[in-house]
Amino acid sequence: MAKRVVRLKVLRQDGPHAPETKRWEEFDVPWEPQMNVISSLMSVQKNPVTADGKTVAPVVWESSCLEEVCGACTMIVNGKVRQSCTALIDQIAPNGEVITLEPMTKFPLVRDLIVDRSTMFESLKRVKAWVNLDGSHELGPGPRQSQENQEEAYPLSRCMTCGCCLEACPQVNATSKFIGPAAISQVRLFNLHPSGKMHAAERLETLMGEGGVADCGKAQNCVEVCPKEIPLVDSIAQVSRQTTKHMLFGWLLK
Amino acid sequence: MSEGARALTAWTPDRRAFLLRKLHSLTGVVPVGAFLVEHLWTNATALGGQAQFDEAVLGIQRIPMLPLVETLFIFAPLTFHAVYGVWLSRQAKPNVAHYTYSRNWAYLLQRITGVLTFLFILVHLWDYRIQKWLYGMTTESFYPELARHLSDVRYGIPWYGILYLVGVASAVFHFANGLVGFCASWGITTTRRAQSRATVLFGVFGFVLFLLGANTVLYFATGTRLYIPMGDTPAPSCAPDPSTRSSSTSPTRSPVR
Repeated sequence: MAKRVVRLKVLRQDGPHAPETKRWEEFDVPWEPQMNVISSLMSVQKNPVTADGKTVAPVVWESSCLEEVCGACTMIVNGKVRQSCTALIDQIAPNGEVITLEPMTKFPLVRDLIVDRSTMFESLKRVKAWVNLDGSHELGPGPRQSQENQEEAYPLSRCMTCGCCLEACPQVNATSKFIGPAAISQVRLFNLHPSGKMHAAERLETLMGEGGVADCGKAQNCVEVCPKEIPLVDSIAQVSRQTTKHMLFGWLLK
Repeated sequence: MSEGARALTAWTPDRRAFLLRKLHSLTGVVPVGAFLVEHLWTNATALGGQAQFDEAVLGIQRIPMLPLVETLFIFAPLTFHAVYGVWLSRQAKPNVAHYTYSRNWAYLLQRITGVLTFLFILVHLWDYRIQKWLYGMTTESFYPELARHLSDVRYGIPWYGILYLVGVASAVFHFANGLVGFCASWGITTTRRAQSRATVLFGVFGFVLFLLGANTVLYFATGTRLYIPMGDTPAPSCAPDPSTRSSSTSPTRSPVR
């Protein structure tokens, strides 16, 4: 019996300013039990020879935790965005189908499968996704958080800023300024927090600016692709309610 | 508000986008959506014959300061909703090929039906409004004109009737799905579950509204009625033949008002 191989089809580009080098390359790597997309990319790295026998520069990618909690290895696997570490070969290509790998399209490309997701971090800073604790004097213990609050907040805190929700969102693209679901959900999280609540209006003001929560198109792809199963649609709707109230009673009727 | 926030009036460049979005969402429901319901409802009186239809049209004509009412409550909000909506839709990059979820399809259809409805309304306005202004088309000629138009068959295809069915379907889908979006963006439905319940509710509403509109279109196009609203009305004034039309205006119309 012929040795089982895994066929990878990778969208490559040599650098951010080299769009002319954009190309598809195919690689055959030996199948191993329990292998995932990352381990198959490691095989390509060991032996960077394309399926038609050309030796090329090894494919580059990012990965870290290998257990779907860091978000570093997010890429487009077979047309859909997800973490490649949990993309098990036997599940995504049980009969030896070609596996296509592409970098995310909503972030600046660095090289091959690596993109620069720092806009997500900038968005978190814009919406002040933190609880202010620093002071020049003792602030005392913070207010207690109710059980109900904790249960609502915990799922939101699982966000790893992987970028899946932005990638799948039809409203996030080069022509739009939409901040995307992740940051909006963090506004819900920190506006829920008993201390974070003290800066709720500032966060809402940011999301009521250009590219804010009103740009949501209700396609609900975000919640479908979120690997952490964060109720992003609920978050957007909750923040929409908060901004509606802030518009009526903070802007128009004040 | 904390000291960090700047003192702004509501209408500053920072807030304009948000307020315009909210106004876009609001005008789609009130008055534009409300007008759609009223319009399809009024048109359905045609099923009772020309006299009933003309009476309904005349009832509207009797509204005091009608041009002002129409401009403020229909033309202005409709134009804003349409033009701003088309402008906003350029921001969309649909991806249903890879993300085939039903809400994602609804997202795409919302934009397609928005543009279709816009184009349909332009044709519809030319037929029954602009010609009324320019050439003094009378309101009494609406009914025969509708019958002549909608029953027009070229190369065996009732293309005008189809155009109107597509136009009504587009407008109704855009309105019903828009109501789902409205409830989400105004914070009325704050969970996904509530939003799916709203989708079912407005889906049924939209379907009924479509039947109401389609019934009238089919009546003008073919003379058949899916549903006869008044029990004692005469046989339908069969649209395609102009000679029978004038004689068939409901003489035995129900006296009930």
